Parts: sequence; structure tokens; C-alpha cells
Amino acid sequence: MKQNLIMSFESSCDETSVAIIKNGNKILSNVVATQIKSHQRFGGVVPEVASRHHIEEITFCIRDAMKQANVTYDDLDAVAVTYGPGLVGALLIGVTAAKTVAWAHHLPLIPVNHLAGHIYAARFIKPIVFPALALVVSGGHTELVWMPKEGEFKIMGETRDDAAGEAYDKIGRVLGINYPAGPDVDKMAAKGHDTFHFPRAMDNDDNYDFSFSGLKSAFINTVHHAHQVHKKLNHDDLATSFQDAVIDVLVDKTMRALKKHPVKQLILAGGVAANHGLRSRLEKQVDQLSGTELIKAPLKLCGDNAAMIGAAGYIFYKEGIKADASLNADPGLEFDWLPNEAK
Amino acid sequence: MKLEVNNSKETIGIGKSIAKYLKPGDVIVLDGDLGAGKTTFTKGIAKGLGIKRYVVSPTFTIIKEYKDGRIPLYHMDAYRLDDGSGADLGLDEYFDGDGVSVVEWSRYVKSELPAQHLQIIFKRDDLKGENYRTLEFNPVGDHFKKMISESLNQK
Amino acid sequence: MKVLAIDSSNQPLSVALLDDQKILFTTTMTAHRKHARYLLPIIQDMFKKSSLTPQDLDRVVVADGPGSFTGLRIAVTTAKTLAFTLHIDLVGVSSLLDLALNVQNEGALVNPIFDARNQNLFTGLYQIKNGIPQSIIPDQHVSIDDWTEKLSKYKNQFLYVVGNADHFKSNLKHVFSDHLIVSKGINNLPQAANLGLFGENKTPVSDVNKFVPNYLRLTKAEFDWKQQHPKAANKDDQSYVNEYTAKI
Repeated sequence: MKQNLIMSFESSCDETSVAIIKNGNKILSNVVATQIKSHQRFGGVVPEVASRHHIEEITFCIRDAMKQANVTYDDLDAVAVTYGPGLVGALLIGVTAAKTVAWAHHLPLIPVNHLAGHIYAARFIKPIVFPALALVVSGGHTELVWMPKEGEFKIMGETRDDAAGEAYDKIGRVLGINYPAGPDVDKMAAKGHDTFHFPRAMDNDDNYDFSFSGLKSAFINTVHHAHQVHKKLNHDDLATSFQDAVIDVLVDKTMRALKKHPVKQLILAGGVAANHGLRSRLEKQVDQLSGTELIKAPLKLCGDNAAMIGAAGYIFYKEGIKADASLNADPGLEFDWLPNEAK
Repeated sequence: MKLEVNNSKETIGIGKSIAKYLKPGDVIVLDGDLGAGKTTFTKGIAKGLGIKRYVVSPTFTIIKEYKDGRIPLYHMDAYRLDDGSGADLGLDEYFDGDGVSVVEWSRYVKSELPAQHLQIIFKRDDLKGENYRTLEFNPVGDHFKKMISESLNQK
Repeated sequence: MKVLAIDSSNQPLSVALLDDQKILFTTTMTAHRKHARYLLPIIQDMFKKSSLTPQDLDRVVVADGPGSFTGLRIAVTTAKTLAFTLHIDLVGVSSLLDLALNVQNEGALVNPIFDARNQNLFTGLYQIKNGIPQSIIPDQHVSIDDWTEKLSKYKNQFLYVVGNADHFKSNLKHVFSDHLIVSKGINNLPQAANLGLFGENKTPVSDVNKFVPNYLRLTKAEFDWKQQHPKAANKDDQSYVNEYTAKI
């Protein structure tokens, strides 16, 4: 019996990952080589260093993923790979390795958008029912994505300046928290209170877009001023005030989108989807809506990994979407806008 | 030449008025600290070029392309780019290309920059207010000198 | 022995397929810098036209640096993944040596050069012995002035310069005057066919997984960091990467 085994690759930023996925929803292996410790030396991801690590790790990841899944090349049906968006030099390692494996073993090659991967991490929890809506929040992205059917993605709203995760890293720098700042700020936020009442940008605007640059500036100014007058601010309260502002905007916009375009499922995905404050707030709000179920990407699959690329790749595989040997990295790859929301 | 601005609207306005004079192959480099107004200024250029899409932070992917205006706009964040890797990214192809390149943190790609370009230095002064900035214009080459005197002196 | 040879260290992309000493197919192009896009299609086409499949391959030879960082990684990732996935031999050869193979005059001093920007070069000095280049001064990242100084003791000999040497020629002319021979045309381009022939007799790498390009230059971020943290400076690069398995 055909198992639909897909070997998938992910290398868009600072994680090299190879997975073996069965039928698009079962993880046989998902090996992730993370470079966080390396980039922490520099306070953030250095693209050239990232590319160098990817090439060091790539075949180790293939080897271990095959060993853990206990499969041979003959068992595989296809190879899937992230080809964008991301850092071009980093993407190229995964794309080049995936193309090479596919050619060497006469397997079809499936190109996968990294954000589609994040969304399809939900597929490991349960099947997606359409139409669905996804909130994708990460270091590089903040998007509301409308999914009318399997494998189709339309942007309803996106950030107009910084991504949510990027804002976390930038205010983290001001508080002396190393990259990635999200997890630490999340922990501090659980202990503090919203005493600073930072602005909720565009929260009342009639659209589904986000903005975090003003919040970032307000935060930096507050800390800056306190420093100038030698006043000590409570860091936990700062964290709570910042995180509450981020969550308010994310959740309000998502709820507004849900009201205008009711769906059976709301999917929360991306690195920032691991944020406990965001998960519980969204849970509470969606609970009050009848007919919509919240599917949160599994905590362990919120960060970048190849399993999610295999899950999305399986959908494209079934639809017959293939790339040839000329597939190239596309660092600026993005979904189309939903026509009525397009600017 | 130096200009003072008191809010982001004015910064956008300056970007807009310069945009009229821009032609393919022009390179503008923006220097200044985090939050000094570099991306805000770029939004002004985009507006002036008739670009409708949002100009968002290029930090994550290093280069963002906007092609729905009069000429394409390439917005780059060179922060953390390694010396020489600008060549690998094909920066010179952008600089010689069909659009305008706006580069933040240009010192990281100094060796790739064309001789003629416009540098703008953004500075804040907290004593004069949270949103107060000075923009210092350093045009290199006749084209940019003319652009600055024509676009900014009308104001 | 069927051998695939690849060099995408710089602007030229050169690929060749060999059967022992016979060159089945060779191509070198400089029209694009899009190596990621064109390398595998070229390989595919060569195998097809030679009626071979990947499974027929015995060895991959790759120019492993120095050169453009991204260019090197495209060739090395392709070569190492192929060798790994097909369980075949992998041979890495200096990208500068590959260029030096273009000079075949016995005894000649050969100076292959890549422009490394900011008045720097990637370069090394070779001498042709028994038809193959032997390293006289190791490959390095060096300033134009320092390299001119290093070469000055050879000024009474003939020097063959190959590669991207235009901006460096006047310095060399000054030292070597009439003894300077600057290569022209195709001799300034790497030839993967030469690389393949050379690599057939070399010992393959012992651990394909650990094979990475010879960048010959630290990233600026790492260089600065190591200056500030001398104690940690010798730690293995890979110790900064953790592998784990993510399942639900």
C-alpha cells in the first residue's frame, strides 16, 4: 500500500531541518538543527553565518531524518522544499540539496511557500475544514490569510511596518534581552501589569492590517526618558504593557475578520504562535464565537521545521504542483491579496 | 544641507518631493539609529513614485521590491550583511538596474555603492521633542546636487 | 570511472562529465550569475545526452574555494548532497588550483587571482611540476600590496597570471616587467573538464557530511566576535548548532 512518503527541507532562516512525513499528517521524523546559540553571539541572525551553518548541517539532517524514520530512498514518493520567503543565501542550501536529492532518485520536487508550511503545521492536529482563516505571526511576518479551499491562500491583512516578532526582538534589545526575545518577554509579561498603556495602532481602523512600529517607538521613548531622569522602570510591567498592546491588536483584528468572513476554523501559526499570552487570549475570544474552532499549531512545530513543509507539500503533491531542476530561491515570495481587500 | 522636521508627516513629505526627480539607477543611502525615520522617509519616496503597496521593514529578507509605481523601488536593509556578500546578493545589479535603490545601514555594503549617490543622515534630538529629527543631505555627483537644490529649495 | 566536475566559485559556471580520461561533456558560461538556477539543469542535460543516470556516477569533484561565498555554496551543496545521497566519492579541489590548471608549461610559475574587493585578493602561487600545479605559496585572502611584496622575490622568473587580474596588472607589471604573462580569453575561465581529470587521482574526503567550502575569510561578525572573545575563539563552528527532533 502506498504511504505517500515525502522528504521535506526547510532552511529559510536560522534552522536547518529535514523531515519524513507520511500521508501529509504523520511525522516519521523531523530533525531540526538550530543555530540560535551561534547568532546569539551577535544579538541577531547574521545572514552569512546562517548560510555557513546550513551547509555544515544539511546532510547530517538528511541522514538522521532517514535513520529515525527508518526509510530508504526507494520508499520516498516526493521531495518538498521551502523556496521562499526568507534569507536568500539560507534558502539556497535547502533548495539546492532538495533539488539534488530529487534528481538523483528520480523523485518529483514540490516547491512550498514557507508561510503555507506554518499554516499546515495545524494539519498534525486535525484536518483543515474550509473556508478557514489563519493568523500567521513570526519574526518576519504578521498576516491574516484567507483559505477558501485546500492549498489556496489569500492575504486579508498584513503588517504595514514591522512584523510582530521583529518588534519583540527590537524592544528586547532595549531591555537587554538577547534574540529571540519573544519567549523571555512572554514569561516576564505573565508576572507584570499593563501600567504604561502603550498605543494600540490602527486598532479601530476599518481594515485587517497591523502596525507595530509606533508601539516600538513608544516603548523605546518611555525607556529612554526614564533613563535620562535616572528613573528605574519595572521590566515585568514594561513587558506586560508591550505584550498586551501586541495581543490586543492581533486579536481584535482577527476577531473583526472572523465576523466579516465567518469560518469553521481559525488557525494560529508561526513562531509567535508559541506565545502563551497570545494563545490563551485568542482561545478565550474564539470560545465566545459559536461555530468557529481555534486550531493552534502544536507548540513544538511553531518554530521553523521541515515537518510543516512536508504537510503543505503533500497538498501540492496531490494537486500535481511540481518544480523542475531550475527552481530557485525566492526571498520575497508572497501570497496574493484577497481581491476585495487589495489596496 | 540640513532640514528639521517635527513629525513623520514632514519626513514623508520630503521623501515625496524628492521622488519626482528620481530615475532608474539612482541610489539613496539612509544612515541613522533605530527609529530615526529611515523607513518613514522610504514610505515618502514610495508615495511619490505612486507605489500603492505598503513599504514594510526589509530587515527580515534584506531586500524588498515594489514594482507598482512609476519606476521600481528596491528597499534594502544592509544591517548584518557581511562585507562582500552584497555582491552575492546581486546588489550591483539592483544599483545599475531599472529602479531606485534605497539602502539602510549602507556602511555594511560600502564597497558595492556606486560613486554617485545621495546620502541622508537622520538624527534625533530628544531635548527638542520625541519626533524631532534633522535630515542632513549629502549629494555626491551633479544629478543628486541638482535634485536636492530643486526639490528642497521650493519649500 | 564516471566523474562529474563542478566549479561555480565566481561569475563563470563550469560543469563537465568524464568517463576516465575521456571528456564526455563540458560547458563553461559567464552570461549569468544565477548558478542556483542553471547548475542542475546543465547537469541533467549532460546525463541525458550522454545516456547516463545519476546511479552511473562514481565520483564528484568540486572547486571548494576560495571565491564568492554564495557561488561556492551552490557547487559544494550540490556536490556534497550528490556524494552523500548516492554513496559515492567526493573530491574537493582549490578553486585557485582549478584556474592554475589552464597553464600547462612545465616549470611555469602560475598566479591565479580572484578579486576580493577593497584592494584585496584571493590568490596563491603554484608551479607546474609533472604537468600539475604544486602549491608554492598557500591560497589566501591578502591585500594587493602584501601580495605584490610576497611575489617580489620571484621577479627574475616568468609569472603566468590567470583569472580576474585587471586591477592588479599594473602592480605586477611594475615588479615583473617583461616577465609577466597575462592569460587571455578562455584561459581566464575555470574549466571543469580539467578539474575532473585532476580530481580523478585525488584521495576523496573521509567524511562527506563535514565537507564545507574553504572560504579563507571569516565573516566580519565572527571576526569581530573572536577578537572580543579570545578564549572562545577556537571553538568548533558546529558546537554552536544543536540538533533535536521535533515531534508532537
